[in-house]
Amino acid sequence: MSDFAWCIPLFPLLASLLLTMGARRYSDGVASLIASCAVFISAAISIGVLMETLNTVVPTVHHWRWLSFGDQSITVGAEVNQLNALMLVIVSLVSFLVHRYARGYMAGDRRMATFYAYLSLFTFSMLGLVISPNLLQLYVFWELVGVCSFLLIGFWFYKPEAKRAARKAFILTRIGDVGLFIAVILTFWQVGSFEWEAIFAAISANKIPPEMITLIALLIFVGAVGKSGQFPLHSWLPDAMEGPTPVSALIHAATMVAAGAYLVARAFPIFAASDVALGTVAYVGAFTAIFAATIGLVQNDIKRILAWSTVSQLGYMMLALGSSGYVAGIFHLTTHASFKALLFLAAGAIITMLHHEQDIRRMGGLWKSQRRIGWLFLIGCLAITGIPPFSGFFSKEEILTAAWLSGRVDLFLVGVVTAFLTALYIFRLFFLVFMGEERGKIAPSQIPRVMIWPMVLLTIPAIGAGFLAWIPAHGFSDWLTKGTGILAAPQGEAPGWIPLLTLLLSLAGVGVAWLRYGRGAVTIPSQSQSVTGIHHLLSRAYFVDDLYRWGIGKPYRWLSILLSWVDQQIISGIVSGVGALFQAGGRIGSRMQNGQAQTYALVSLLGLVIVIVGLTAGRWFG
Amino acid sequence: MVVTGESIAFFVLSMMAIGGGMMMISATKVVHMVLSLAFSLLSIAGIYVLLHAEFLAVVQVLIYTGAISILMLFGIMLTKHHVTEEDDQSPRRWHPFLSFLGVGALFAIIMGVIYQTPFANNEEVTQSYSLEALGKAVFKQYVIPFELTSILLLVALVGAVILAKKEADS
Amino acid sequence: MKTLIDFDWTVMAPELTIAGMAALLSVIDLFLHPNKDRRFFMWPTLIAIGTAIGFVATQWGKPAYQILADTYRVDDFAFVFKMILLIGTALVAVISYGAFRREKGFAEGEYYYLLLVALLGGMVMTSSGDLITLFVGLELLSIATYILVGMRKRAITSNEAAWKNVVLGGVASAFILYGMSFLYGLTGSTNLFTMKERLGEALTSGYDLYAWLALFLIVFGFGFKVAVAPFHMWVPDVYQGAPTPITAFLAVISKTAAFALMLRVFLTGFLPLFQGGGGTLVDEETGGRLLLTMAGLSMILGTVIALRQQDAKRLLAYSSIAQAGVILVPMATWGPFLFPSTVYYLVGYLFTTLGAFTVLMLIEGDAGDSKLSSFAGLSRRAPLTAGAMALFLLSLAGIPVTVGFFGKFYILMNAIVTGSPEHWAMYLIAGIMLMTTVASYFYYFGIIRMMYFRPPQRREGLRVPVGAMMVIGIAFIATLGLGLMPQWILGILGNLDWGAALSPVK
Repeated sequence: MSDFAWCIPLFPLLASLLLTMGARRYSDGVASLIASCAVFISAAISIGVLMETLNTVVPTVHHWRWLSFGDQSITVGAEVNQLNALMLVIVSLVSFLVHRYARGYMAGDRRMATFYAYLSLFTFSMLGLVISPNLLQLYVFWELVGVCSFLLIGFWFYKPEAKRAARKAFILTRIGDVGLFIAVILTFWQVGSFEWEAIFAAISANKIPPEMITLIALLIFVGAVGKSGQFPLHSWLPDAMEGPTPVSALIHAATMVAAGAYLVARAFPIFAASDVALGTVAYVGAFTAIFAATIGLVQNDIKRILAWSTVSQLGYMMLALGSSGYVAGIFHLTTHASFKALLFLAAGAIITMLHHEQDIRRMGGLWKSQRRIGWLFLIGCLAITGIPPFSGFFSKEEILTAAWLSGRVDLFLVGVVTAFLTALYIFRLFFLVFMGEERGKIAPSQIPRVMIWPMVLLTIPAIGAGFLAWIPAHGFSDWLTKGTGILAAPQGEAPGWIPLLTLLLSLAGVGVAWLRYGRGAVTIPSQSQSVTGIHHLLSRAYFVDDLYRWGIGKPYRWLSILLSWVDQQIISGIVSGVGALFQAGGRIGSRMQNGQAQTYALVSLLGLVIVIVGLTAGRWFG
Repeated sequence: MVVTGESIAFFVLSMMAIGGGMMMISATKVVHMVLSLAFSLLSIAGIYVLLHAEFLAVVQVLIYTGAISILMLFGIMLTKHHVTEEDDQSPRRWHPFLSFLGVGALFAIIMGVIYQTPFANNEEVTQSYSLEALGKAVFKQYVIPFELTSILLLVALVGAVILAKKEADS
Repeated sequence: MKTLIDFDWTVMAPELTIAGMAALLSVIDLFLHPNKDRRFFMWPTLIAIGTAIGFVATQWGKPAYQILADTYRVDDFAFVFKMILLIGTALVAVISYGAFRREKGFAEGEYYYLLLVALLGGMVMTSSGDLITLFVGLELLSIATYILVGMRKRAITSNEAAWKNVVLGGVASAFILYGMSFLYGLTGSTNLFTMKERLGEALTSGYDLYAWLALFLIVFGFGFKVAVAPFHMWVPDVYQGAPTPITAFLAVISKTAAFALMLRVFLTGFLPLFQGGGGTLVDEETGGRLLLTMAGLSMILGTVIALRQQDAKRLLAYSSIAQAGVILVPMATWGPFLFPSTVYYLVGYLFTTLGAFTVLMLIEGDAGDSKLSSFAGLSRRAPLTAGAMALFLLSLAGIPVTVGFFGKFYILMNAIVTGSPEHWAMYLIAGIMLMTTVASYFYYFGIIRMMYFRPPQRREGLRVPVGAMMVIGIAFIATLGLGLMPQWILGILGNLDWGAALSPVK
């Protein structure tokens, strides 16, 4: 089956081409069917490939010579190893489910066929990225997913915000891509090849000077920062929520944004060879995790909360990888893909039900009427919070263990606090949407079946993926690192209290959220002043509430507001400042372009004189 | 630098050539422009004589000063023209200053380089630059560019006709 | 010495074909009734170019040959550049078919044979080792294009563009001639190879500044012709005023020919200045730095000013300035793949730019102007055309799987492998290239956003003539095909004998 791995990405490409050619001819149903079938075939083959990697020992690589470059030749091809195979399955499966789900979500949109064409094109690019055996091919697909993401965020182009968001996403990720591109060229220069194997071989043979390894690793990480929305290139990701929700689920939660983490994992031997690079990854990841989690707490748009949550969870993955927790990072990538896709799809269902209402302040009380969606959403929330036996618990615990074992206590503490915050913001979301009274004015409508069953299927990995960690004798991590020479996790014995601490903090987070937002009785009637047992209890509860509000809540909220302000003003300010600089330069340039030939000749002449003097001046005087 | 009759003649002639060129640019009447041009070209013929290129000087006088200038004058007199050309809107204020700066700097650089270069002061044998040698060079070694030049002239002619022709259908 | 008849004049067959057809067309033009439609002139033009391509192709793989002390020479360098020029002109001729129906008083007959003459000038510029021939070729090309630019007599912008082009082009030619006369005075020869030897001697015997001055003066003129900063000021006005097929011609054929000229002169005649020609005031790195400065400046200025353009034609004009900067990089960095990377980029640039200008021409004919907003909603009015345009823009921006990406990548590789801590300028230029590439996404994507994310101003589809459709199709296939399979053309380029262009024929 691995021999046919190269054709996995081709089916979606074929579907995309078919749909583009005859966009107007297909009815919505047919368009959806073509795209879904293609992705289904890819998913089926991917699963077959994954099964095979359980037994084979070495990665299988297929090359075709693409071009010769001096005495070097560059190849294209497909490689299958354990990490690839796992990613292939994640990408194709989530993509398939989202393809089906979109049939319901996008119903009534006149450009359904175009939507599916873009979605299939994205799937192709993402699968191609995953399967690339060399850095150059990866870079090519890396760009392609960026273009697809741009097209899909801006899909509803008649919304000005969508247009802006699309552009922002493209530009910000491009900044990262330039870093990656330089890394690609530097690598080729140093190693003389783009092949991963050759690069890793060169590193283990100490052929590359250590500073160069650090530089390359950092530049690769810059690429990952852009794609995975890490600080300071994160601000496009929440804006990207202007795209249709299936897109958010597929691209901006489960797959493309995880490509950054995937890249770091794929290039892990490079990172492992440089402590500086690993440290940078870990600290950037940790900071992003806690930073995004705080901001997630004060957002009111259901999709934006989930987006900040994605940024935060991606930070977790980086934290894990940076703490040498190779398996932990990938494990969290896997579980996150399932539960975050589930959360997004459920959020999409809620949005559909409420006729495109996204503000959680105008939701509430949906539990009564929408028990089914409620359960699905709750499963997602429990998974991300890390309540056993849901999957998030296991992967988060491994990350914290890795952070602890790597000896960086500060990072460990950040991780722990973020775990608490995660529980807090996600259950704030849950309680505000599902508990309390109905604040919305619109009656919920029914959602079609085709949107339900993909979510139901997603609950299986959201609950069960965690048990991968329980495969006897480190089965999962042994399998993942087999033949790669990568350490699965930092050396040492994990203290047993870490899972317990994680669980306790998560539960605390849920509890606080319940007290603050969940009891459905945020507005308790105050007419009864008599001191009864119940009332006393309530008062005491209020006491907790006040403590929360004044002791933790308020300062916390201020901090959150401050951080969002920093995010909006400073970071965006720098970005737009660079833009303004270019604009000003352009203005001066256009001013000189005044249409007079005399000016043109004069500028050329002065240019010549300045160039002559500039290039020789040093010599005249020196 | 030794002042000789030759160098005085050179200075006078080159001043005349440059002066003629500047007068042509700054004149407002077309006829004046043509006359200044003829003046300038004539001075260049004088410089050719100084360089012992007598044939070239004669040709210069015959073709440029004679034929071309006369042709231009005929052209101007036989066609209806606004004989004077109104002043264009003057360029910006800092233009003259910057132009002076640029041209002056370039001039300084060129002169500086020329004076730093140790030119050999020996007399070249000018006999070899005879008419025969010129003819041989043009029609043997440089026959390809020479023929191309004829196409060039044809193109310039056609172009002038196209751009100047009044439309027949209007 | 050989007599004229001893030379094998058949090697000039391509040039003779073009010149002959130009003459024939001018005669036919005279005998046709003035009101007769002269559109069909495209066919003889194409036939002539096709025949010339055939003749050039027969020179494939043959050893270099020269006539009359290198006043004409064929070598692999000339072969490649002639092919680019011929194919480019053929495509320009095809899109011109019927493009000027609405122009009153447009001399369509003259248009085609002037196009041929301009092409002839370009071809001469690529295949000579003598300054005089090279200069005559340059003037032939320049004068023909001056006229072509001004052919839309009714349009004031066209007149103005032609005027500016003549005046500023004349200034540039004057600088080139001045520089060349310095060179001749120093070396006593117009032959590039003789010049190289004597210049080497002159550098060590105190004449170095004089030689450098000649280089700087010539650079002014060449910089003008290839349109790099700071000699680029004429570009936007002229490109905007010219009829769009001619704008494409200027952007592609003129530029390519000028680059051929520049490569030939700098790599043979001026070689001592670039390699090891030490002197009192300027060292051998100055030549490279000069080119680097111009390349970097063009990329920065072209990109930055393009950001503010609201007119697609001006935008593409500025983008062509930036692209010229990129093409200059291999020459400035002097890497191992100097020739292949330059030529590969030029080939890609040919198809991409021609394709983009063709689409622009259609839009212009449809909307009456070339504003960015005229592209609005093109994806719905003409999905295939819009898709092709998007691909061309992606290629200009250097997004993967297009020819533009690989071209930029190749040039960057070339720059970085020549870099070292002593030659840090190579890293700097690579950095500038990357930065400006990123900035250029803003304006290229501006057009793409217009086409895809804006509702159209009119409902009816865009009329695409057959010729334009074919050119867009060819450009599309080439842009994608050369990007996906660069090996094919790189194989050809790699096997060519570039050294033959740099040494005299034995």
